[in-house]
Amino acid sequence: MAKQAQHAEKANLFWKLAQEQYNQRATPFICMNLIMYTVGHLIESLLAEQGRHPGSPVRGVPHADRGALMRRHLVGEGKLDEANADCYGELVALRDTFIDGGIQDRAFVERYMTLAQPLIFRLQKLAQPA
Amino acid sequence: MAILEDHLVLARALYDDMKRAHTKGEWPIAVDAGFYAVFHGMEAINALECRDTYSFADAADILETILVERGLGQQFASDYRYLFYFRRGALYGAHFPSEKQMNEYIGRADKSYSAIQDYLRKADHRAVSSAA
Repeated sequence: MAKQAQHAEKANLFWKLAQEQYNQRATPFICMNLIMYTVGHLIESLLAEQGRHPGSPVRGVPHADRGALMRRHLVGEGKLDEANADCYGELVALRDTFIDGGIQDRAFVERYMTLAQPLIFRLQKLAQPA
Repeated sequence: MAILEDHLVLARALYDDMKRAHTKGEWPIAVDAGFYAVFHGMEAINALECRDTYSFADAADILETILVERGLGQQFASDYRYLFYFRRGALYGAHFPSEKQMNEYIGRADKSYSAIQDYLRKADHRAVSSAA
């Protein structure tokens, strides 16, 4: 499991790449994932401060448990609000890496970035040292 | 649950992204694109044979119980597992891969992507033969 500093470093790296790829109009699938990984590492950085780390289903990835821990602890303690948690849930639900709804296009990733940005800014602010 | 054509188009785009990102040293993109190029290639095979996956656990199960014996083989299954867990460790976990580790990862993704293309070519040949 990663520590707070490692999550913070990855969040910075992935957000830099996400913005570059988005501005270069790169493959929307890649932009979408980099945005999601930024959100994930910012949340896990805050959870790691409390010694909490999401688990994963067998042969899976930790998005659902991350959301549950975020709601229970970060929203529960008043650091984030319900709308932030709903936004995270929507980002996970829309991500669709199995392309059930077809391949993501530019319009999709623009909506995805618009949805994610306020949450990313909120999380970045929270993660800054006091 | 996508159609064959969509999986093929996305797999190709991601494969090209992997190559480009690896050359530029953008390891997170190379890791993500490489894994998903192989995953969507596998999904193309599944679509061709009327299967869908709903989770990564499904994908692993279908690979091990169906695709290995239908021609992808044990080495492919081993490489897929390597790609899956490397991606999870590098992108979700604490790890920052070295250049040597990235070279191995790209090599395995390359080999897996080629194996999928071979499988699809043979499947196409079989379909043409049985229609004749």
